[in-house]
Amino acid sequence: MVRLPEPLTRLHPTRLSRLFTSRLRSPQLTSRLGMLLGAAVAVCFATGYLSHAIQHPPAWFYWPSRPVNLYRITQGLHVATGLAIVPLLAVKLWSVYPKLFRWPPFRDAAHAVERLSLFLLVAAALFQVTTGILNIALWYSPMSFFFTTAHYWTAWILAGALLIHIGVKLPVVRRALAAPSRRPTEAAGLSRRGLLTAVASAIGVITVATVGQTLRPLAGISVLGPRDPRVGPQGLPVNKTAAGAGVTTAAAGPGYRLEVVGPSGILRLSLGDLAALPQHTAQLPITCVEGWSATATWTGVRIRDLAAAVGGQPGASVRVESLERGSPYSTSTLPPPHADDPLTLLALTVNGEPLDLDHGHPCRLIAPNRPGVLQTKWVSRVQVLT
Amino acid sequence: MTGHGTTSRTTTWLQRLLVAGGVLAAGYGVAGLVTDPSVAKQPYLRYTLTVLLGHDLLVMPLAILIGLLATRWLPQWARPAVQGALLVTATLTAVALPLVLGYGRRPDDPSALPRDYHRGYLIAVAAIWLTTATLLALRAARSRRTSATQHQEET
Repeated sequence: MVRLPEPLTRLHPTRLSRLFTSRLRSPQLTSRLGMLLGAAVAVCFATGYLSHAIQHPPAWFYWPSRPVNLYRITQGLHVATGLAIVPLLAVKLWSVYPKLFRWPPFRDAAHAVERLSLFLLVAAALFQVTTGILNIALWYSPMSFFFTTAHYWTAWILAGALLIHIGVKLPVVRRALAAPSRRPTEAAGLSRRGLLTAVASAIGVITVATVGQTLRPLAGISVLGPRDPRVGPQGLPVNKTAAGAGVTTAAAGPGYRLEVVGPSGILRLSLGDLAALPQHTAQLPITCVEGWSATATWTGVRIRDLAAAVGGQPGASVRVESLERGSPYSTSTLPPPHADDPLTLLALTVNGEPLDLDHGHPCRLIAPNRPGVLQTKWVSRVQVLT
Repeated sequence: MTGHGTTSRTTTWLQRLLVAGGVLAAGYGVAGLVTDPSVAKQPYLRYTLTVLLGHDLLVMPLAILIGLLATRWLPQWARPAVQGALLVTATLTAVALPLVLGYGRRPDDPSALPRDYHRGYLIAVAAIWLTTATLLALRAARSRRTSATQHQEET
């Protein structure tokens, strides 16, 4: 019989989980972290589903045009909470890490199924957090799949696997939280309270370092904000440039005409014709699904005035098309609350200047309480749907 | 799943409800992934396995090892603060890394990743460790004071 030298025998599967000696790990710690993490995942799921439903509304869904900043808050919360999950998830996984090496790996069939569902849970959680971070950092190449739909479907897997996990662990969690808080024997290093303080500090640092991308007063100290609401052409960030959309020639050319289509006919308007129509001004944010936002003052023609000019009735939806071709975001539909809202404009100027080509010159849609991907730029056609 | 004798009937039913709801939601997600043509299956699986195995077999053991080595030779009283600071630094790094690498920059769009993220990351890390150093200094001063008082009382 071969006797392995001492350090190697310690790596035998039956002993592996005993390598982890921290006395800090306990059902109490894991339960507390789990509750915080569960709440954070719930916030991300709810705000994420909301953003999905606004872009792909199911039949039962209704989204108002006011308050103007509501989507800005829910989507800002989605990204900020997602980033706050990083330290929570890291410590939660650390607290149960030795269990990964338990031997034998499972007791019976039911236990095997439960452990497999944990793989699903951990994989989905890591997937959501890492793809979210890559997406706000605009680094798409490691994800050779379409982020939006993959992130959406995996959110359902994460939510489902989490519900299963809570269902299985409910008695353990209840016992752990009901147990009198025993003072752990003075161990070398962090106490439970110290660890939770460190997690809170990590959340604080990450939030302060990034949230200025949507909270303008913090823009100066958010040194790791993927966007700066003050930076861009005309002091406003851009997600897709005219060159990127391939519209530079069509948008800058003198032959531009806006087509307005409705029940009573078709209008073809030049930029001069649009400027001659009654102009209105609105202060509205551009709110990106990636979690940044920036408010600007827009001036232009009300969509409801354009709709009325071609015989559109209040309560109709309005479809807006871009000069851009071949992008899923080149058209968007304004549901009745947004189409009728007096703040919804076909903007010709921003902050008192004609729109920069990258902001959608000759004209762009700007409506209250909507994701930026639906604020169509380089508008070529407005159609009242009947 | 019901197992323990102490578990009440309400709890058992709640557990069954949670598990059933979870199976439905996860099943909906898996079905959506499989049928959605916009999700490339092979890259999706490859990515998911990479992050799962990368985390479980590389990042987590490495983090534990670094934490162990970095605090090994520290005096007992200094360990908690340094461990906490290591945790904050590590998780901040996970968020900052894609920004620092900067592959998301776009030549035609200066508003995409507009900041100097090397500088931002250094500032954030410096703030974390300066705070930690201050906490440790305060702690050291306090413990010296206490031991001095104790010493006076004894003499």
